[in-house]
Amino acid sequence: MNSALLAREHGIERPQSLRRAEMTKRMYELELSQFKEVARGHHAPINWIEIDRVEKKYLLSAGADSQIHIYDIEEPVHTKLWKIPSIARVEKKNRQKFGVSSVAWYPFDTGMFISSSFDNTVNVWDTNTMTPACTFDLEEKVFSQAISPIAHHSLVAGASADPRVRLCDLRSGAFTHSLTGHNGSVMAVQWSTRYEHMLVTGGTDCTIRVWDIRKAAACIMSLDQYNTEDADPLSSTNQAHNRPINGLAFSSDGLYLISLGMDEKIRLWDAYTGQNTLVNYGPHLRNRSRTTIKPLIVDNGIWPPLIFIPSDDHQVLAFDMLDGRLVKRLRGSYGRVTSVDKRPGREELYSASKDQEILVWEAPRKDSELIDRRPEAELDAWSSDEDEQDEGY
Amino acid sequence: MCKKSEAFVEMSVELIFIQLGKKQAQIRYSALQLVEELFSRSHKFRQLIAEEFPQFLQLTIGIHQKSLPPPSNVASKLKEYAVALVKTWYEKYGESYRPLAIGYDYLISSGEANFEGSSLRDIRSRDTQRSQQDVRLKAINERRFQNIETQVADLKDDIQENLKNMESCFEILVPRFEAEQAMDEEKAAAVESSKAPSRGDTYKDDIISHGLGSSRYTIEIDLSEGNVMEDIKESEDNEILFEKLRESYKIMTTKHLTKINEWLKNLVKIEYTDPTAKDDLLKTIISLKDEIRDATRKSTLLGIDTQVENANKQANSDDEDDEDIDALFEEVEVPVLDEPSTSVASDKPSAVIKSKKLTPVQRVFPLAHEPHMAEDATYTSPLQAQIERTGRIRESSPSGNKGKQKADLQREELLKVAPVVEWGEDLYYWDKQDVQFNQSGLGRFLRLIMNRMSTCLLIKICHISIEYHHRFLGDGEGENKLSDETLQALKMRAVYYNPQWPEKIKACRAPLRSGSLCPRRDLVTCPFHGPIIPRDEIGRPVDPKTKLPIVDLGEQETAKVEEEKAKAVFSAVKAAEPALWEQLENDVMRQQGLTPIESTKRGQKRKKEKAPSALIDVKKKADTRLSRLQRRLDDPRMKRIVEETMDHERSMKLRDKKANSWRGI
Repeated sequence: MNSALLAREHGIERPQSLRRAEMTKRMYELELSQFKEVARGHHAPINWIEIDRVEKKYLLSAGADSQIHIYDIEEPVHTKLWKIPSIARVEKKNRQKFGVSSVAWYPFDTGMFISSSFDNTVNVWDTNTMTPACTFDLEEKVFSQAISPIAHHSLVAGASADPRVRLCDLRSGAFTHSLTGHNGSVMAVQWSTRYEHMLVTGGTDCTIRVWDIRKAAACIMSLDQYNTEDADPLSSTNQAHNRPINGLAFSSDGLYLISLGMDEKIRLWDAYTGQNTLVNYGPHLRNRSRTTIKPLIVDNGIWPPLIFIPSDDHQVLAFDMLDGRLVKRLRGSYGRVTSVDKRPGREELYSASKDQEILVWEAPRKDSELIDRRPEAELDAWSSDEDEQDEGY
Repeated sequence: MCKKSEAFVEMSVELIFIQLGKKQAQIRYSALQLVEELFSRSHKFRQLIAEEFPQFLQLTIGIHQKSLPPPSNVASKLKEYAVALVKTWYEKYGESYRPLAIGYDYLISSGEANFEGSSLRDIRSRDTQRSQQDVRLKAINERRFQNIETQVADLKDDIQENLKNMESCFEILVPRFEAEQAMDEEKAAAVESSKAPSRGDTYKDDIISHGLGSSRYTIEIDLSEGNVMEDIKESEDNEILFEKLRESYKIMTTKHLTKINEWLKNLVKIEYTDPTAKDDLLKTIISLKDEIRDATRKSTLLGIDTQVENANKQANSDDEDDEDIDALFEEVEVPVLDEPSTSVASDKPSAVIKSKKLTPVQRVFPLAHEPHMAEDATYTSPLQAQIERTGRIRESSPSGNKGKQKADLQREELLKVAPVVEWGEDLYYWDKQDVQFNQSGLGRFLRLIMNRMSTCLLIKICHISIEYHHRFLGDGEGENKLSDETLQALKMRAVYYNPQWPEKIKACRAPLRSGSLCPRRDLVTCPFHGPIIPRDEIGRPVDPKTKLPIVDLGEQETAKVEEEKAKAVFSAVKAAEPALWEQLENDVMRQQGLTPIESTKRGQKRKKEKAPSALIDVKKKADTRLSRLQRRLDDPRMKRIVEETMDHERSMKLRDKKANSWRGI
């Protein structure tokens, strides 16, 4: 690190490369945080967590107990172990009838967030009062929703048990589109982070469909795992996975898309051409439950980029995105992990699981001060008579 | 070892997890104990365990719907232990090892473990308490055993002196006949020679050696106890002796016998570490008891016990004690082994020699006047006597004719030889060559009628009668004689067997787990403990010979005992030898010049016998009703029976079908 600092000082290396090297290193060293833990707020499995991109300090969590909590994850200075408390939650009278399947912050302001619930609705909430401001009834249970992080149109796409993907307009409070094309429930939905009109959905019909919401024939592509040449991009034989798709995530530059199938495969797609990149992530993933899970691509400022995949065997798997190597297993949860999110700008990862707990992962802090006050509990305590014995050998 | 390097710690964690993964709660429990030790020592170990904490909890507490392996009682113990352990770990290391805290939180929130009420200290103290209790019990047992031992050592001399006194009194009181004694000894020797292993002699030799040329007459030497005792009356001369006897008898019954019974009772209960010492002690006590019983018997014969009782009554002392003792005496009856009466007689002047006969088993022909023959249905002696008497009367009354007298003489001689049989149908037919029957002539009469009449009915009747030789309606042509076979059959005698039930059935007396003896009374075999064999006080099977009281017998007797001991040793050696058929086979093979066949099956079996494990066999299936039924159904014998029945039924059905389908033919 010091040599890199020196190199930066002398202008041998670009400042960015040092930053990237450090960040990458820290990202690769993630472990259970010694200093932070999230207070237990839910009394049921947590289905979704999301951290806002504006203030980068509010964590939304949605549980199967139809409870939504907001945590302030910005830590106060000089604490030993900080238990992150829940700063807001939904009153009982305002709660939805069934569990909340997913939540999302309004991308430009923390005064509003959107949730989807198994009681067939997509709700828009006022953060300050924690009351629903607007409700869209999708008539089928909603597995997930997504709002474009870059778009000006403020459309919320709802993926439900209904084959149609409904777009809810936050401005008018009404549905603007019904995207038809899927043959079963739609489990996962994501907006492109590069093109504001591009929407990707994955469903139980094993297809991933790419939509351009401006077009009348909205479906422009159905991803094909075999990359069949000269084939119709909308061919009915195209399949992205061999089993239902229940997780989708875009990279931050919008060039890559990863999809999780219940065939326990992870596929990386070129989001521009719709080609399968054929990266082999190995047989590590366990993914058999028919609920939407939230994977994560971390490529901002680190190289090579990592993907974090929640797995059914109580772990978060970290893969090298481009060569498919398993980098790390984040073990510590006691239930199936449902979603992961990274705090923007920090090497902090949050994972939610079915054991009602949100775990904080961060890079180990290497303050000299910390090493000094290394707790006594971490010291070896071999008995003295064994010492003598050892010397005897 | 683990201290040397962290690699060793890693290795040990790996190994421990393998052990924890075994599907046996006991193994997991021991592995957990190991984890506890290492966990408190090594930082690296703690780190590794913390990393694998979810799996660790899953294996030891059983989270994630993974239940702990059998046996269930150990599993619950394991869980309790693990929960307590996690709690202490959390308190001590929770801050520095996050996974511990998370695991602890999870356990609390999911309610999979109850952290209240079980602390590690509790479990520890419980364990130590149990072990301490064990140690204490052992010490107590030892103390009690030693106590009894010293008591026995103290009192043994007393008792024996008392007995010796009594014995000398008896000797003075009861007259001994030198000649008789000599004879007794001679007889004893004779019996011994016949009992000796040289089985080559025939029984006849035996009989001759006994001075018995024929088996049909016996010498009876009646020395019943009664008339001996009648001779000895309490008089002024021997008053002192009687007094002394009474005194010692009283001491013996009230003090010594109760003490001995008490010892026996306690000894049977105590589980002593050294079984041989215990056995020795038991043996001495039992032999003492036997001696006391002998003395008691003698004094009863002399009428001392009644006198003592009377004296007791007069002195207003409670009789219950005495009764109690008697009852106890009955209860702990040591199986009395049948000694040859003669040998007993040699050192017991008051003993009786009833008859100098060989035991019934040894004789070739049973004799009519023997008691057990009287019960035999084929041989009834009273009748014989009767017949003899009548025969004699018949002989005596017509005593005129000389020729007849001669014949009678001959007859008498024959009668001596002839077996005597009860009168029966078979004797009636004994000398008959051909027996006529149905001489009534009714058949002939019918035939006459038949000649006259010509109605169909009558013809039919007559037809039947002729064909079947009907008894009433007439008979067919041919002779009305019994066939040879029938005659033979009639000459047979039907003998009805009426089984005799023994009046008193011995108890099984095999030691039960509760410490008592099996009270079942069966004729031959106890359904739980196998064939009924003589057993000693504590229910161990005994060779009837070796259990003889060893103390204070004559030289002859000790020699005998020694011989028997040697025999016992030999039999013990024999038990280790191969079975008889194997020996025979080996002999045959040797004679044919072949190498004897190794009994491989037995050898293999022996090899396969594993050292007994402290682990509970998990794989063993529970003996449920279903499994028992299944076993019964799968039994090949049952299957065969069922098959046979099915076959039979099928064939019967086929036959019926054939019989009914006559119309088609």
